[in-house]
Amino acid sequence: MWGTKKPEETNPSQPARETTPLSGAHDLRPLGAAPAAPPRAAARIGRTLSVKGELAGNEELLVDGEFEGTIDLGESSLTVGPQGRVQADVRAREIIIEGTVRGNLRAADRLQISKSGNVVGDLVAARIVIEDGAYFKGSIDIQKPEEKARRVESAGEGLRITPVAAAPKDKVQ
Amino acid sequence: MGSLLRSLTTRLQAPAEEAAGGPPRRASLGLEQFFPAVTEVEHAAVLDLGCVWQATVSVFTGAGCKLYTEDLFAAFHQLRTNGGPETPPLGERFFAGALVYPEGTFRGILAWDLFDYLPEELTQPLATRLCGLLEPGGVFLGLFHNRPENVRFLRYRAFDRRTLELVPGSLPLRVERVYPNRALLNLFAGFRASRTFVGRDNLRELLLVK
Repeated sequence: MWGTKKPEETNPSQPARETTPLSGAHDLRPLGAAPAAPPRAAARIGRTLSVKGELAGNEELLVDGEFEGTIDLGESSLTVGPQGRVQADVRAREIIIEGTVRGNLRAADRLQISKSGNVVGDLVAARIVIEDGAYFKGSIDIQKPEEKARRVESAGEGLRITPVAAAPKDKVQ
Repeated sequence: MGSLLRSLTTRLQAPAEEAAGGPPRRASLGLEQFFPAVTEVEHAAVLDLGCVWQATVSVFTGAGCKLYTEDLFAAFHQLRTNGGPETPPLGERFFAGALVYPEGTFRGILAWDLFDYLPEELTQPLATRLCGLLEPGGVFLGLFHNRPENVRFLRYRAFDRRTLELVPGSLPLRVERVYPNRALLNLFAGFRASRTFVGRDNLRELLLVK
């Protein structure tokens, strides 16, 4: 559903997001160097689209329209464009907010709020970038991958199971 | 605050100075003492009542804190601008959507110079509310102008653990009043200890401990 980019949804104001592979003079690279990975095409919710529901998958997503629900992109990234309006809890590897978001955001790697961004919610990410002029209300929690692992580990310690044989017996009066 | 009150006034030696290519910076003894009081608790929750800045986020999250941001300057300005004769009182509207957190949530609160810009009907309820949001032993840092003349509205952000950056603000806010020391003690009577640091720029830093 999200993987096909319809021709009528092409937004001329977003030329930097075009994913045409580099060619010609731009394709020059040192001999022996590995070819660069081709950029991945982003699925897109266009300006005139309004979507409600649960969205899950593993590909880049650009929201320029409206979305309400939940978004889980796993190891992929979400970009909410300047005209985008999202009311959802979001989980992704990387999240870039240029528009308006109401919801809790969790980025495994990087979360960026651009100067045009307007975010109300709780943020959890390994790295956070907030440009001057952005509006934000909520909490910011930095969780590095190793820190996250440590917290899970320590949480596990709290759930240690005591073998039946080692359990203290009730005192009998 | 009774006998527990400990008030110390220290005069800063370094006034605000221009940073190369950036906003002016100012040494802050208040921030310098606020910081260890907050970070002695692991994963402490800190509430910033100004607007969000990358610098402040980096300083506090880099020390393991969880930083909450709620721009009460902007919230107040918006309410005041949108008010009309039929709207409920300002205090009612202000607290209807602001500071919705459980009691004792925070280890530290950065209020900056918010109280200088608020009308009297908001100051006491806000001080009481902020005291309630702090956990026992939690700290509050506020800034108060000694001379309101020619004070332009600034935003403050933590450059590091002992330095503030002063960024010109865009909101048309004016200092409403100057608080004598006695008025501050009455306003924050719910706290058990206070320290005051006065800078050459006539800005008092008030550090309170709950």
